[in-house]
Formats: sequence, structure tokens, C-alpha cells
Amino acid sequence: MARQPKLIEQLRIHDELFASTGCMFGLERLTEKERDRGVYEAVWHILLSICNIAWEVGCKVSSSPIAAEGGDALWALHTPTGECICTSRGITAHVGLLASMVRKFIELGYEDLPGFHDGDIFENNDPHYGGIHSPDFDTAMPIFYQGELVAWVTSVTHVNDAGCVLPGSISFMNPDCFSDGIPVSVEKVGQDDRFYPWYEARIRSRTRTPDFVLGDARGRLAGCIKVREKLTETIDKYGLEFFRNASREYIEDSRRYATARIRTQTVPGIVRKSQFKDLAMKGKSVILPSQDIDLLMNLPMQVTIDKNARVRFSLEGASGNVPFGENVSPTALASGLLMGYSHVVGFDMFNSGSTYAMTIDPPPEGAWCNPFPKNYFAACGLGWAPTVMWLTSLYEVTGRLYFMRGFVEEMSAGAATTMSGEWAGQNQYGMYMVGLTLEQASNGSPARGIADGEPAAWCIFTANADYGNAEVMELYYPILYLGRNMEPDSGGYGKFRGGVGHTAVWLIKNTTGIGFTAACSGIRSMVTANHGMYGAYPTPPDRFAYAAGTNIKSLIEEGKPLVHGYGDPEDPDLVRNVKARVLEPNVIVPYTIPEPLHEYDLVIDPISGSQAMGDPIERDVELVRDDLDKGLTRPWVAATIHGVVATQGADGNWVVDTEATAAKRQGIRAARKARGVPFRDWWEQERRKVQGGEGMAEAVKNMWNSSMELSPGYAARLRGFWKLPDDFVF
Amino acid sequence: MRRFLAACDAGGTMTDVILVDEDGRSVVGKASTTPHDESIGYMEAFYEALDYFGIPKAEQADFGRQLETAIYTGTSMLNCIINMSGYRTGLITTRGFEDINAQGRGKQTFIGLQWSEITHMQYRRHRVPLVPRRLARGVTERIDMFGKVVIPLYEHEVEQAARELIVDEGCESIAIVFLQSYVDSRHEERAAEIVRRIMQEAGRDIPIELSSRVAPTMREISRANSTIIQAYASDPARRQLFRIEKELHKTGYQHSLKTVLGYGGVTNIRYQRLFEAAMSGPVGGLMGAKYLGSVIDENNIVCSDVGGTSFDAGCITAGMLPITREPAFQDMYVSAPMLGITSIGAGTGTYIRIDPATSRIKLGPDSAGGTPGPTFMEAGNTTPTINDANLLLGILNEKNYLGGKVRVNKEVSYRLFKEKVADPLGLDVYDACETCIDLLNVIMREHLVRSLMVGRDLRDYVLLGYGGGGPLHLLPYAGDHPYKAVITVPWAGGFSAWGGACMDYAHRRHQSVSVLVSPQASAADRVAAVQPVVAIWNNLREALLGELVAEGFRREQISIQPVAYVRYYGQLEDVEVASPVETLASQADLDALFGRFEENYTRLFTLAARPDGGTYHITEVAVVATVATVKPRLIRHPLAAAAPPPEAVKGTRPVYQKGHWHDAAIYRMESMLPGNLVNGLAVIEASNTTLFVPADWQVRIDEYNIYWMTRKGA
Repeated sequence: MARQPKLIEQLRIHDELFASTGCMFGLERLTEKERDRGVYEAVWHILLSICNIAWEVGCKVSSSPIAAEGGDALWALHTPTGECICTSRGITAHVGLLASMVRKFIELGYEDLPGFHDGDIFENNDPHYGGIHSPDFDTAMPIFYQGELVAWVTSVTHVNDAGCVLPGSISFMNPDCFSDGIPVSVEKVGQDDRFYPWYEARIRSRTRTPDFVLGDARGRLAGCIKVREKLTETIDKYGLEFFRNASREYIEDSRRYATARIRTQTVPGIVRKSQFKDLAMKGKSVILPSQDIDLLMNLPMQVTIDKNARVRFSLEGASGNVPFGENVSPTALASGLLMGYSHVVGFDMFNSGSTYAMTIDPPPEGAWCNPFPKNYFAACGLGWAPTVMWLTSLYEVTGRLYFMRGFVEEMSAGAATTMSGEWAGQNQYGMYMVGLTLEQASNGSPARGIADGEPAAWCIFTANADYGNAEVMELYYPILYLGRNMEPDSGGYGKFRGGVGHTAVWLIKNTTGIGFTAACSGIRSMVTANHGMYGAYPTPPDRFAYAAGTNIKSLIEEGKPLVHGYGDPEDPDLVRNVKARVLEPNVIVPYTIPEPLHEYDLVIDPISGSQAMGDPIERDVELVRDDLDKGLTRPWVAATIHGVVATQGADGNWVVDTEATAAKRQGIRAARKARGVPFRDWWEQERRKVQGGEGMAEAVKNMWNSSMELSPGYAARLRGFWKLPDDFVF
Repeated sequence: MRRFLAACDAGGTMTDVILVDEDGRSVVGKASTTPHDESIGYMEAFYEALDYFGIPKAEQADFGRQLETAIYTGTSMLNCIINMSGYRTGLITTRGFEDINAQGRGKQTFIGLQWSEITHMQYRRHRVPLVPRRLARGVTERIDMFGKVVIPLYEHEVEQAARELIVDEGCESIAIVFLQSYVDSRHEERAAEIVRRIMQEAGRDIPIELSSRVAPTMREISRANSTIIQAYASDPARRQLFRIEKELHKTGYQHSLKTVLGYGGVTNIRYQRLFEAAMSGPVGGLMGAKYLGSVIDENNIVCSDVGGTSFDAGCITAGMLPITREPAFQDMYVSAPMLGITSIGAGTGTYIRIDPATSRIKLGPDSAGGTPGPTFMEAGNTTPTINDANLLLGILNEKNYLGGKVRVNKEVSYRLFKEKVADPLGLDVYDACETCIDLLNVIMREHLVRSLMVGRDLRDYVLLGYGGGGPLHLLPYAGDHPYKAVITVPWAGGFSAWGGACMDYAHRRHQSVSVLVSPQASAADRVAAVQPVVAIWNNLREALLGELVAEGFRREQISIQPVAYVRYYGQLEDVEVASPVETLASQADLDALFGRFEENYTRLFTLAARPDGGTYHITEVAVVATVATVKPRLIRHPLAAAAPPPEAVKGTRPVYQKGHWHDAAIYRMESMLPGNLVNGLAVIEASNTTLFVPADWQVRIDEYNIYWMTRKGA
């Protein structure tokens, strides 16, 4: 068998072949697949099985609840040049990152120094080198067969503390990369299947919960070793030549599948979707004075599908990088997009192939999604936040495209994005503890083209959507759950509503003090991400609440009502039932509570539902009645938004007056018509507002100006639409 | 008078009754399952078994007098849940958790799905809750994880909830589930007292189930599911079992009907925690395998069961079966000890489709179930299945399908297979058949390796195949993996039912605990730290002894095995450790327990996963109490000649293998004798199964009538 060229040379050849043929590795024919379809499929199942063995082993060894209970981890197998062949189940958002990490090792010349050897362990968590944010530790090990590097195995887990300036792993507050925590910058961190002692020493020195961080490292390593063992057996059986050929074909096959789905289920053209994200920090506790600002971020998505079903994404118009940990590198953004693709396009063979079925135009330099060319010190402590918010547009974009071709059952409205809660302080065992809640890993799922979404069933950053058991969380943090019920009307309003979210209520107990951050995994506190599709109304914002220095102990002693949910937004339970030194029922997130919480303090954490689809007055009255019976919608919503006339009987059941409902809905339609104005009139009114900046917050103006500055084409289009002068700025 | 055992395996489609006499001879009677009244299907299969055994009709009416034991394994509780025909159950739970059943958890929406389906949001569905939201009531209370009352039970709220559910809503059972009740049950116990009083005041008598009694283990969602299933389905299911028992009593059967528990043991159908029997379906096979292993002196067995719809696998190591404590059941996770069985949607009825976008073969995971494929013209299925492929290759005998009871149309199979599979693949029909079967075999083989054999050496294990399709696929999915041996039995088609007759009488109880043992602590401190474990072991032991003594056993008959679940502190997953010592009274006892843990841990997770000097965390303990029972004997026969007797030889049939037609020798399994040797290529046919022997394998039948398969020349 001919010796393979050096990896850097292989990379160059692959890139050229793809550029010249449009096929991965220049594979215009899938010869192993054609030769023996059975063996081709069989080995695919074996490789999948190998990765899943690693997942089962690695998650059990890992320490963080988010890995072990939430499955926020991944193992993957790669070609020698880094393209991902297949993955385990888990957090597939990382596939692109892992692939680019291996590529980076090669591009940096590591093949010569330090060289690649059997048993070597490499890692990266540094966004400057393709990482997403510091708590996501990416590990890679080369796999050798008869002395030749034939594959890589990689893994990622989310550790519970990354050594950032503030405790935790979702550090939105970091002002710059120097506060982003412990960097492991494309490093060799071990050999002979063991981590170097100085790697362990660094983690012990620079993270707050080193035993947990190292436990996760052992989990990643154990899974990687399993993959190596099993892959070697597979190559023994099927031969190196077959493995090498077939693994490339799996990637090309996946690329073709993605293209075929686009070709058969969508239409060519351009779809644009606006998306905005607020970061309202003015007046809050921040790290640097320069962070005492309100920001709005522009997260536009433009998708172009050409006649050959090639898909191009553009972020033209994205606003500038922000002085918080909410920037992301283009590599990480592309990796997130690959995961989003798997949600809405779907794959049998999930690997790097689909990455090559689409392209992303280089985002504007200096934007939140490409910060380093203009601000090398930009922070990415919570790079996922804008990424998932941007990604949720993909649901609606593809939903519209599927609708155009009649694939109604494949449609979905925008997925929920949410806040994530993090505790840091003394736990109930008297030890220091920091970690995430799992609540945010289980949102309501989006409305479908044919049905409502489901509660607690979906999470945009992991398909393993699950919030686990409250009792497991109580094992880790000094809290008592007082509630975890579904939140009425949190799934938007439409013909089909999104799956509703839920509200967690925590009573602080058994601690001398613990901090809480309602951080940002795509919060929608001031601005709601997505608005629902085709006439639906958006979900309400997610506002968390807390109380410190409460009278809850007295309430308990007196047997009085406590707080188990948010309650009526007009009269929240917290306000009605509790007296406290600090009582904040409507906090705009993200937010770090500025003081430690103590026993009998209270936190109320809303977990988002997803968006709805269709006109709410077209909702089947039976569905409205059912929601009323289950307490999932409020009577005033049924009456005014859905136009349903219903009364509650003595037995508690709701009864709909069908005729009155039809008349009421007709009245709503007539009223809509009456208040409608011709488009031109509306446009002229709005244009005056735009031109004069009327009622426009500084954050909004700054965002538009930033977008226009970074993307001249976008600026021209925007000015053109409103017929504004060429030098117009907000 | 000859004595018999009757064991039943009631599946979703068919009910098997296996009848075993004291010489170990057995037959299987089959009938359609009759979910509305399972006694009908049961008795039909029972009488068919009597016919097969040659019991004269005149003796059948009072044959029950000859029955030593009758055991039921099956789907009565499952059917109750599928059909939503259980009790109108009210839930009283910690306030703020009223949605615990309706909301469930995300993980429950993708049970059994493949990863490509899990990533696709459109598939997400919650099951219909057994307790609708309007029958759930929250009451204010909280106990923390240390068992300390933080919020006392608001008793007036319990009263109101009980009155609303029992009086206003007419609930037929009540489930009480409070958070952390596995640590301290006082609030649940007090709430039960109040509910009982309200019930009596209302003149009602309904079951009240407490989560702290049903499943006192951590994880409230699963504990709630268990408690609700117990309240919702155990009484209605028990009624079905009473019907069967009544019918058996009419035939003169003098004992109680027994049922099989999910963790592998039999018990009286009057057993309190009957929900533990809900997942007993695949248990019979594993327990049969364990017993078979004890006869042939094999302690390490990989068990594989191929049915029409699923491939179930389990693994016996050193004579022990692993227990899973949070199995999935009907799209719910439940707290219930169950034998570690893993299943995938792969069986003889698995559908074969070709993805139009990529021309890739898609096998299942759905299947034609009880009517596998177009081979049944009248069933109307037009999607080819694995059975079609087996039929077209000549491996299955078109005249012997289910013993010839079912008419098979091979021409339709051919036409549809060609149109829907072979042509899209650009393959000859027979090559396409072979490709699909090979792929299924690889999927099964990988399932065994991935789900069971992580950290284990195949060379130490015997692979056993059973189920109607087991012998058909066994050797191909054994492949070239280096199992110590590959075996099956002539009664493979009814093996699960037979296994039901092979179980000991057993009860098992679990309880959560949280005990940390630091290696840095002094010996005395370490021993002191584990005393809560010893206390729970003692309590559980006494409780189980009490239960079994109450069921008529003597204390000296009962064997006790203490179990601990151990992890390194900080991890969320633990490892089951059958304690090598009865109690933990000394440093040596602790060394024995943790030594066993470290051995298991390293084998499962690699040496690299082991922390240096990690603190041990015992999270749960269990006690298993067993009483040995009379089991079917495996008779040792004299060995006949290697050549099968003439009556076993059916001739030859063309079978397509590796791209060519070959003449395969065909044998009648019922006429084969111990000592016979058959070389592949061969097919050995029985009425309820078919053993396929590829060309490079041979089969030897040992003195116990067990079929041992080896590669030629091995």
C-alpha cells in the first residue's frame, strides 16, 4: 500500500479536488458503496456503534451534571485530515469545531513538531483557534494502524467552571478574551493515554472546581480510548484501504443527501429573516464601567438556494462585536449551523459532509460573528448565545421553503431560545460549588405545520433535550424546588401553538450564601426571537424574578400560601404572597444577582416555550377548549386572541359556544380590516419615523449604524427600501 | 401421576404456553393473544399444548390436577396502559409539580428512536398522561435531601385534594408522590392517613399508593411514573390474572397462579407491587438462559432473542444478570428494578426500504409485526420485510411457515422485492435479499457488542440465540466474533415461556442512600460512615424475609444477596456491586466491597477513567431474596450416531448464498437426536423456528439436546 502524503499535503489536495469537482475528496463516484452496498452500510453501523460506545462510557465517567445527566457531550471519528466521518449521539453542535480543530493542528505544522504519536492527547478550548467558548473542552487523539495515522477521535464536554473572571461556564459578562477563563490553545496535553501533570496542575490552579473539570477530562479520554480500540478491530476485519475509502464516501454521501433534500423539498431563491438580540445591561452590576450600556445585536440570516440546490448563507448586516462574552468565531458559527441543519434538514449520516453542501459567506469583519479581525481581544465566554439565536431563524426559513413545496408536515416555527441559570457558592455539604441548572435543556418545541409543539421536549443546542429530575439537581445545589409546572400561554398564539415552557421555583436552603446568574443562552427579555409564523403572535418575554431577605420562613410557620409559579403576570404570586428586602418580579435578563442569596430567598426561573404558527383565530376551538381545561391558556387569551366564547361549568369543564365563537371571530376579522391601511400609507408613516429616529432607543440606532458601517451592501439595501439619502445614518 | 409445569408468555400478538413434564420434555401451544380477556387466549394455547403432548381429550378437562406450577409472563399490564383502560387515578403531589405526569420529561419523547430521528424535531411526542392534569392536586410541603422537614405538610390542602379527587371526581385510586420522599416518607404517610379518612367518610375503598413504598429511590419523575402505574394498572391487570387462575382452577389446578417480575423471579399474583411485573416480557428468556447455563456449566452467556419486531439482548456474567433501575416502559421512565435488557427495532418482520435520495438501504426500525410482509397476501402489506428476503433465498420453507399453518405467496414477495428494493439498488433480486439480511445481521451483531460487551471479552462468553427468528439469524450475527461457543435449543421458539418456568421465587427491594467514604479517612471513620448502608440492608432483608415468610416459605429456604451501587464522588452514574460480604463491619469488609467496585469500574470504563484516590459514593442499596424452586429438568440422553436418523432428513432445497445457488440439506428438527452432527449448508426446520447453518458452520447436538455450533475446522 502506497504511503500517504503528509497531512498538510493531503489537506491541500482535498481542497483542490473539492474546488474542481464539487465533491468531497473529488469522489464523483462512490465506488465502495457501488461495489458492496451491504458492507458499506454494515461498516457505517459499526462506526456509529463505536462512537456510541464512547458516549456511554464517557458520559458515565464524566462529572458534570450537564454531561452525565444532560448528555452535553460528544465523541466523533475523523479522517486523518479532520473531516468528521461519524459521531455519537450528544451535542452535535460541536462536530464542525472538532473537525476544524484537527485541521488546525495540521495547518500549524504539528505533524512535524511536536509530531503525532499513538496515545497523544491534544486539546483546544480557545475561540481564537476555532473553539466556541472556554468551558467546552475539545479533545483529540490520533489513531494509528500499523504505524500510520489513519484517523482521529475527538470529544467535547462542557465543564462546569472555566476559570473565567466570574464563576461558571456561561460567562456572558466577560469584557475581553483575557477574562474568558483558562485557555487551552491547540495544545498537546498528554501522551501515552495520560494527561501531563502540568495540565492537571493548571486546571487545579485556574478553575474553581478542578475535581469536576478533571473528571470530565477523564470521561473524554476514556471514550476516545474506546473508539481507538474498536476502530482498530474494525480495520483488522475490513482492511485499511476499505476503511480509508469508505470513510470518505460516507462524508460525500452525506453531502449529497443534504443537497438532495434541498433539491426535492425546497425551491430556489433568496429568503431573508431578521433576528435581533438585546443585551440590556445599563444600570446592572457589570465588570467594567464600559459595560454599563444597553445593546441590540442584529443577527440577520440570508439563505440563497441556486438551481443546483447549492445553499449559501450570509450574515451581511450583522452588527458589531460587543464588549461582553457574546461574540463568536465564524468557525464556531458554522459548526452551530451544521447542527441546526440536522434539526430541520435531517441526516442519516451526520458528519462533515453537509458542511460542504452549504457555504457561509465570510461574515462582516468586526461583527459579533467575526470579531477578531477588528478586535482580537473580543470575548466569547458565551458565544452560544447569539449563535443559537441566529440559528433559530433557520427553522422558520426552512419552514417557509417546505411550505412552498407542500411538505407541510416538515414545517416548524422558530425554536425557543432561553436563559440558563447558574449557581456559584457554598453548597449543602459546605463545599464550594458552581454549575448550571438543567432546566434550559428542555424547552417547548416549535409549532409544526400540522400540530402544536410539545412541552419540555426540545432544545436548540442539543437534541438530547431533557431537564432531568429535580431531586438530582437538589443533590448538587443548595436549593429546594417549589415548582416546575408548565407555564400557560408560553407557546405563542396561533393556529398551532408552540410547546409551552415551564417555570422553576427555587427556595434557597442549606447554604451560607450562593450566587445566581440568569445568563443568556439566547434570552428574549426585551426582544422576542422570532415572532411566530404565518400570522401567529409571538411568545411573551422571559423575565426572571427573585426575592432576598424574605418572610418565607414566617409564611411557612403560619401555614400561609407560598410561591410555586409565576402566576398571573398582572398580579404575580411573588408580589402577592411574599414580603422581602429585595423583591424583583420582572428582571430583564441577562442578570447576575448582585449579592449572595441566603436561606429562604427565592428564585423564579422561566424556561421558554417555542413559537406558534398560523392565525390564532383559525385555531380549532376544541384545541382551545382542551388548553382551557388543562390550564395551558388563560380565559382572556381564549376570548380575545383566539376569539373563542367559552364558559366554565360547575364541574370545572369548559364548554364552547360554537355559534358565538364564529360570530366573534368574524368580528375580529372585520375589525382587522377596518384598522388596516394601504401598504404605501404605512410605508410613508414608518419612513418618517426611521428618518427622524422617532421613538428609537440609542441601542437601536447604534445597532443599525453598526450594521450599515460593517456591510455597505446591506446599508445600500436598507437606504434603498426606505428611499433615504446615500449618507443617511440613524 | 406425572407432574407438569405450565409457563405462559403472552406477547402483543401471540400467547405461548409451554408445558414441561418432570422428565424435562416440553411442547409449546400457541394462540392469538386476547387482550380483552386474556384467559381465552391462555386456555386455547394451554389446550393446544396438551394436544401436542398427546394428552387425550378426555383427560384434559381435569389436567390441572397434574400441574405443579402455572406461571404467567406477559402483557396484561401493558395492554391496560396501551388501551388506557386502567383506574381513574388521582395524583396528590408536592405543590408546583402537578404537571409531573403530563409534562413528563424530554427524554421520554424519544425513547426507542434512532439518532437521526432524535435530531429531527418533528418526531417529538409525549404520551397521553395516565393522570390527566385535572386529576392532579398539589399540596404544600417540602422535605430536603437530608430528610429534614423544611415546609411541614399543609394538611388542610391534603384534605381538600382528597375530597375533590375521591368525592367530586370519583377517582378509583390515588397516587401520592412527594419530592425527596425516598429519604423520608413521613409526609406521604401522613397524607395517606388523611386520604384514607376522607375515603372512609365517603364510604369508598380504593387503593392508595405511596411512592415511598412503591419505589423508594431518587428521581421523582420515574418514581411518580411507577407509583401512577401501580395505582392505575395493577388492580385491573390483576383482575385479568385472576380470570386465568379461575380458568385453571376449573381444570383442577390447586395452587395460585404465579407471575414474573421484571428483575427475574416469580411471585404470587397477589404480590403487592405488581407494577414490577409490567416489564416482564423479555425476562423469561434471560432467566431461561441463566438456568440453561447452570446445567451446562456456563456462567457467562450473551442472550439474544429475535422476534418479528425487535431484537432483545441481555448478558449474564459470572451467573449474574445486571439490573437496570430506571428502564423505559411505554414512553415513560420508571423506577423499577429490571433485568438489563436492551432492544432495537430489528426482527424478521423489519421493513426494508430504499432512500430515494441516496439509494441507501433503510431497515426498519418499524416492522410488519405479526403479519410480516407481502408473504401474507391477505394482510395487504406491500413493503418488503426481512422474512421476504429469507423466503426468497430459500432459507425459509414456504410450506413450513409457522408449521405450515400460514399460506405464503412467494411470487408476490418476488415481485414486490424486485420493484421496491432490488431495482432501486440496481441489484439482482437475490443479491439484494442477501445484502439486506447481511446488513440486519451486522446491526444485530453491533447491538450485542455495543450494548452488552463494553469492557467484556467475547472469548469468555457463550452466545445463545432464541425467539422464533433467533436460530434463523444466530450464526450470521455471531459472525466471526470470537465467542467461546454459539448455542441454541430446539424449543427456541418458546424459550421465553420456558424460561418463566426456570426462575426462582424472588423478591427484590431498593432504597436510595448517600454515603461518602474517603480513602483518606481513618479505618474507624470509614466503617462508621457505611453504617447507614448496613442499616438499610438489615431493614430490607427483614422486610423481604417477612414478605416471603408470609407467602409460606421458611426462613432457612431463603437466600439473601446484598447489593450496593457505587460511584466515585462527583459522578452521576454508578456501578452495581453484588457485595461479596454480608455486612460491613470491618476495614476488610470495605476493602472487599470497594475492591469489587474498582474491578467492575475499570473493566467497564478503562483504567484511564479511574481517578487517583477518589472518594467512593454509595448512592443506592438493594437486597435480593430468593427461594429455589422446582425447575424443568434437562434430561441427559444417550448419544446417537452422528448422522441424523432417516425420519429427520427432508431432502435438499436450493439456497442462495454468497451470490450462488447451492443445495442445502433440509432436516426436521423434531426428529433430530442427541449426538447428531450436521454440516452447513443446511436448514433444520421446526414448527416454530428454523435453524440456518451457513456453509462454514456445523452443528452438534449434545446429550441435553442443546445445539452447539462451531466453525468447520475450528
